[in-house]
Amino acid sequence: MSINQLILDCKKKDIKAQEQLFRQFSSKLFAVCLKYSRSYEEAQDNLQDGFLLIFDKINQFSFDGSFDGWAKRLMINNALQYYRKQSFLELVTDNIAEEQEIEIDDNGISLDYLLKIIQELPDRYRLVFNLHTIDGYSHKEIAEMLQINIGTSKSNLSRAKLILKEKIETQNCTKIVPLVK
Amino acid sequence: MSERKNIDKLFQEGFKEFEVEPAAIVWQNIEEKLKEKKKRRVIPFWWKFTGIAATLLLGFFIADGIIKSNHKIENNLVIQEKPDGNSKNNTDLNQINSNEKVIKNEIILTLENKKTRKNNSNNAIAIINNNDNSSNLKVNESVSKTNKQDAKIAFIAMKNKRNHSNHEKINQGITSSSENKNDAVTTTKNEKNEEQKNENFDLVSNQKTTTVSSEINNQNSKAEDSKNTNKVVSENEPLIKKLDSTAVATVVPNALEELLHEKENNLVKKEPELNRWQITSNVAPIYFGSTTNGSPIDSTFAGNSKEYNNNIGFGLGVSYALSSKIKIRTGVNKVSLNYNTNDVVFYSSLQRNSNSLDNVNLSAAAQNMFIGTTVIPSAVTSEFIADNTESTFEGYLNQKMGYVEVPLELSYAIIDKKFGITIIGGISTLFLNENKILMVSNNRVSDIGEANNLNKTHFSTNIGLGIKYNIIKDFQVHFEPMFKHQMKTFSKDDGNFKPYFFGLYSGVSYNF
Repeated sequence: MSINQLILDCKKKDIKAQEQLFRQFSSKLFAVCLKYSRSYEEAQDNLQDGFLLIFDKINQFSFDGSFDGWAKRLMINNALQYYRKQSFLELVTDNIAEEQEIEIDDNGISLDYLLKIIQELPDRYRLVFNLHTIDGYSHKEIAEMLQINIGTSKSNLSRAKLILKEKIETQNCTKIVPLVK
Repeated sequence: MSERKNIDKLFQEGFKEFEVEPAAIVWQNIEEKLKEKKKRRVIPFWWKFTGIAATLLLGFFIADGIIKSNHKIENNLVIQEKPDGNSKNNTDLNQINSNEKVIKNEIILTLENKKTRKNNSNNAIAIINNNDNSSNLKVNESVSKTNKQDAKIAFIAMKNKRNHSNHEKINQGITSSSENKNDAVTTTKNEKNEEQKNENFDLVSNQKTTTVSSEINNQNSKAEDSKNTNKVVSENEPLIKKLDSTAVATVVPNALEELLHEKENNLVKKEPELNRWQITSNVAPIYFGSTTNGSPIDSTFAGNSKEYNNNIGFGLGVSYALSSKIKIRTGVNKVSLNYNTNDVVFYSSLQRNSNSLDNVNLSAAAQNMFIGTTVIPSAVTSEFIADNTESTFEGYLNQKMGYVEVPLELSYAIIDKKFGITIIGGISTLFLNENKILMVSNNRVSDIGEANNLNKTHFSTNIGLGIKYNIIKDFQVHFEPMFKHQMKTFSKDDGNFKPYFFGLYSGVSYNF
């Protein structure tokens, strides 16, 4: 069955089609959720809510872009909404020199570890880092999506990168230490 | 070997083909929720009314547009002006002849909106439809000349909001139905955007015309502009957001739009589960009265003043809900009614009384009693009073009528929330179970017999208002003022006595 036919069936709320759509896209979208969430469990919750949203709004998908992209954006927006409303604590906006090049040693760091340190970032940092660095949104877009200033977005990104860098470096050190001994 | 690598690249490459199979439980949960949703789609009744109202309003606009399009309009103007360089305000005044064009124009505006957004500029749109060219255009022009254009537009919008808050939802529905269904408009921002458009739409209905439409585009180069950082601007900011179907609705989704989808999807609609049965207990003060001043005891008492006494009635009821709004109810009530006939004179004579009362079967004790009125004394009465002043007593007659009432009533709920109001109407059958006439004088009470003209059963027509309040889940307290007009109370000669009673029923109900 073509993806378009599958979508049409989903528009008719056909549960079989919905399941097939889930099977086809869940891995990719779960990866998105994992990056944007704080933990595996929360990612699962977000995936679930996101898919319910997709099934709910699939009528609004008008085939003028890829379903992939549409679903992914929905999933991201869903996660953003979740963490946006959860961030009671306004992060301090400080002026960090923006867009500094941060380089680190790549010792074949595992993806699991990268995911772990992303998830450990404070909510706003994690969202901004994901949106900008991994999913390629501009600071202006991020500012709109998160309802923050562009400046805040930029400074959040720099902060996030610094934290990630530190964590990767300590990881590298702990790796190196046993080798030296 | 380690290599120096940009942190961005590290993550970008790492997550490029990142895919993780979720646990099976996720789909199970989703499936469960989807099924649950399918089952439990309940449309609140007011949505239907909103839909009807929207249809009517849409019809009105279309009809109005057709009528108005016959008129030629002289002021076809397109004015573009750039007021202050600082704020870079740009004003378009476009004239539109028909309502349909207004809608088209809105869509165009939305597209423009998308474009301007890409140019990183803030764009506020307001459409104002006027009938009165001279006065309203002036307003618009003067508004556009000032730097605080945003503020005034917002003010107009707010004003309209106040005036037409009722229409807001309806208008939203109109706009959404006129736009492409797949256009997917559900961000908060977009809703705000729509709302503002619709508020302007309201102007149309206000002035009952759609002859002139002016659109005003504001382009503010920077949101951070010191003059624009006031609250009004922030209200306008939402207008810049683009239409994005992936945006998650953070506020209420458009009710009418969903309704539309639901209709399209032919989803099964179910009435909410009703607790159809209800039992009720009642207690009520009963106010008895007659619409006329006759006497059912004897025609001689027609002119005597009557004193109607209040009693307590009580009973049990059961009702069955035919629908969510209509209930049929019945029950058993105990009602006792009594009234006094004043200014009565009586005395005991040794001989059997030849002057018995018309409609009373005198008891044995009262066989020798003479009873008359002091209001219009008959020749006989005057004579006896004159002869027997010492053995004559003045007092009053008390007639008691007790009934078992079986009502059969329908109630219709006007408001059915935690607090509810119902209209009640029906009939009651009343079975006579107490029939007594007492003679009362100087605290002496004697039973003189019973009325022989009371029907064993008679009827009443009932009308009333019910007020209820849900205390906890299935329990409610109610208060029901009921007026019951009695019919065929008397089998023969009613002496022009037309009784009724008024009860303030209150009690507790239980639904099951």
